[in-house]
Amino acid sequence: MGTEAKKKTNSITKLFDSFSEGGVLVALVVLCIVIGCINPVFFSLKNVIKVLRQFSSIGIIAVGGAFVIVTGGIDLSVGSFMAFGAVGTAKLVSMGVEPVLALLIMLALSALCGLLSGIIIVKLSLNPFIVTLAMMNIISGATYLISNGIPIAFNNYLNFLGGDAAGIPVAIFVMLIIMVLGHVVLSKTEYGRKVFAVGGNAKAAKLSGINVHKVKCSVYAMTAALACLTGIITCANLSSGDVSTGSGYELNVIAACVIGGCSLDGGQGSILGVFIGAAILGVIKNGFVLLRIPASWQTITIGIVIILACVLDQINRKKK
Amino acid sequence: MGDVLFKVEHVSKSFPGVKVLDDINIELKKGSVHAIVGENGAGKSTFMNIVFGVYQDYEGRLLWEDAPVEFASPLEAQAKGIAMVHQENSLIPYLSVMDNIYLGHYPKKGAFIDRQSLRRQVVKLMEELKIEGLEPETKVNTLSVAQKQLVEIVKALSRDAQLLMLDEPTAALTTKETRCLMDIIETLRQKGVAIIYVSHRLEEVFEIADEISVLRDGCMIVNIPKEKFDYDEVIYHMIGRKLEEYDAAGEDLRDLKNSREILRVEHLSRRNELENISFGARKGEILGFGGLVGAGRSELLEAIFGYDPYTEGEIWIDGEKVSIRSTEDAIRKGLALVPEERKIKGIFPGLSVMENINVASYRELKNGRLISKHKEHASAMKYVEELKIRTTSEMKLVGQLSGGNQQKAILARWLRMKPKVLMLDEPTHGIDIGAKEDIYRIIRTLAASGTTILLISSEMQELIRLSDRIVVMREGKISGVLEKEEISQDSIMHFAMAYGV
Repeated sequence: MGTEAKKKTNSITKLFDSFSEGGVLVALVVLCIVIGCINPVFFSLKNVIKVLRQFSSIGIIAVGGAFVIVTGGIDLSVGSFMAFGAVGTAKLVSMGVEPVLALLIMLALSALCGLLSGIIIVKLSLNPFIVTLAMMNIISGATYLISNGIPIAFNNYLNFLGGDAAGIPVAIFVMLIIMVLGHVVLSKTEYGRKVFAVGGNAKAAKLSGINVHKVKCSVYAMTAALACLTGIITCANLSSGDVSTGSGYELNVIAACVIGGCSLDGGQGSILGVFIGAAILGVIKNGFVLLRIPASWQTITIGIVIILACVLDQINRKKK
Repeated sequence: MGDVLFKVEHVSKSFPGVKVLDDINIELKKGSVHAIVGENGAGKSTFMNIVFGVYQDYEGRLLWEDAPVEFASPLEAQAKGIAMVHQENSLIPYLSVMDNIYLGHYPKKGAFIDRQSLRRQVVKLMEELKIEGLEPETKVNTLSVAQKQLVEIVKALSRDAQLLMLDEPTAALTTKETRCLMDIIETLRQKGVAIIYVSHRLEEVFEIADEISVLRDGCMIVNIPKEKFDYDEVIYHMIGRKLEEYDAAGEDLRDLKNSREILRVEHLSRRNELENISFGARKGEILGFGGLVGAGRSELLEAIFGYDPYTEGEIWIDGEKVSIRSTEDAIRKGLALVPEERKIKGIFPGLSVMENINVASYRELKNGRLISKHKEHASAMKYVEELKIRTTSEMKLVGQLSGGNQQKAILARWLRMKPKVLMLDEPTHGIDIGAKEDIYRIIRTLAASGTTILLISSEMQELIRLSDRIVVMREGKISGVLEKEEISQDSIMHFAMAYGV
């Protein structure tokens, strides 16, 4: 092989190596091709938009979820923050608060509660699983208190968040913006490196002058805010704030992160991977409807995919 | 002393690219203590792992009572009667002493564990070994390091071991506890157990061993019988040259007497750990910290560095009084700490060499708000070359490098901050001789260029070689300060131990 050609192969393998999400990306592409071949409707613009819309909620929250998991933590409270955001905003608006102000208040309030989870986790050295589980219950309860369990109507200019812009749902734009921001922050800023360092070895990070507590607290605050935002989008879409918003999302978010290559041990993960992970979940859901396969098979398949993704990840890591 | 129990004949072992053991021959008699000494990386652990059945792909053969044996796993070695007490604690914290001892071979009654005979057997074992003050029901996590060590030994012997291997058993023990262990070994010897004893501490080796084998770079250099034990001789064989020759290279151009004081610590205390510590260090000085494990040396450096902040006392850096409440404060004031326990507190095994080097200084590697790819690679490459970090690429995961190269990467992390005071806690622990020499060279060069260095080392020779002065600590207090001309193994031990003070 000539030097020139060798160089080329080298740079290609290098590209593939540096792109550790390669495996799941291939899985996603194969999945799309198989579904598309059986039912070509899958590739129609309308359906593609539908799929994107479907996984946008998980996608937005999973950006925060990835930050949490990379620090070695976990967040079980995101579903409850979605409901909190939806119901809280609707309630504030119904009380006469300016909708934008209501949105900002709820975002701030959620971030504050997320921060509280973080503070409890670091200051009392409690397990994040337990603390966010507790926070999930607290926030769910608070949401019920706000609404008494009755859906609150939500009709104002914020409804555009749940609608379309240029024929494409606004939620998709929001997801893409958050994803790009998340990617840049995680992979290209000092803060991002600190997140990896904290998850890679918290003691070494502290000894390297990184404020481990601050980093950990920040990721829970961010995730809570993102979950709240997603809840508000859902609320705008349904024109009603409902306590059942977001139930079960916490596990879907974790699934998206794990499929996308985030290690629950911390120190590993990427937003690109999380996007692919969320996309795989969305494509399976959509594809199974198109192929008329009963919904129960969906969840079984997702379970299998999670395990396969982890096995793939293990193999990749051993190869390195 | 009895018949030959175990023989090692012409054993060699290679790892990809390196020969770690080369033609080792050892004969073990029943009721004898055979000490193996050598520097870190000399091949002691590899040797024990072969005897214990951890490695199977070696050359040469093992003979058990004159019959060739091959162990496919540690389980088979144990079945034959070989027991090993590992350097690292292998006990399960939330189980009781007796559960830990008989885990894996519980006495049973049908499908159930026979708790009564379990307890009886444990008590009997401990009586035989004359171990006192250890309750079989106590949970292991509440025990002291020394007590855990005893449990490890009882556990090893619970399978009727005829050959017991001890890997640095006294590393974490106090003098009194070491005494107790020596007595137990004596009891075992009288019962006819053959013992392989690996230790850095020559004093205790001289006391209990019947024979010493010196390993260096994987070769068995010499076997010395008890009547010919001589301290200088053993050291000579361990390091391969006389101590005086060690430091010939490099002229010392520092003028320590007239350089200014960079660090001053006054009346530093932390509850139960550090008491009223005061000392100063000059620009370009290498200030050594001697003392036994647990004397509070690491705690002191971590307190100065804000990892576990001090509760009382004052610190001055370059004449300015500073308050250090966190590691960020310490770094801002020009301090740096290379911690002990590289794996636990030093490296980020899942991150690249580049990220490991840059992790504390990304602030300086940015273009605007984003990290500059060019700058971070250039920064890493500079130190990879300067410190001769052996890696195929700066993007390689640091966990895949050898211990010495990992340590260099951590050193690089701090060197690039250009600290005024560099604190090194056991900087050469567990790394090979070549890398060690490199690190010594780096430390000297840094001191010559005006960096103040605080050095903790449990390797006496290392401490003596490098230090300009030595602060000796005992039980969280400074027990003595030795000027260059007063430094010797005896003077350090004098202040490190309880006696005479």
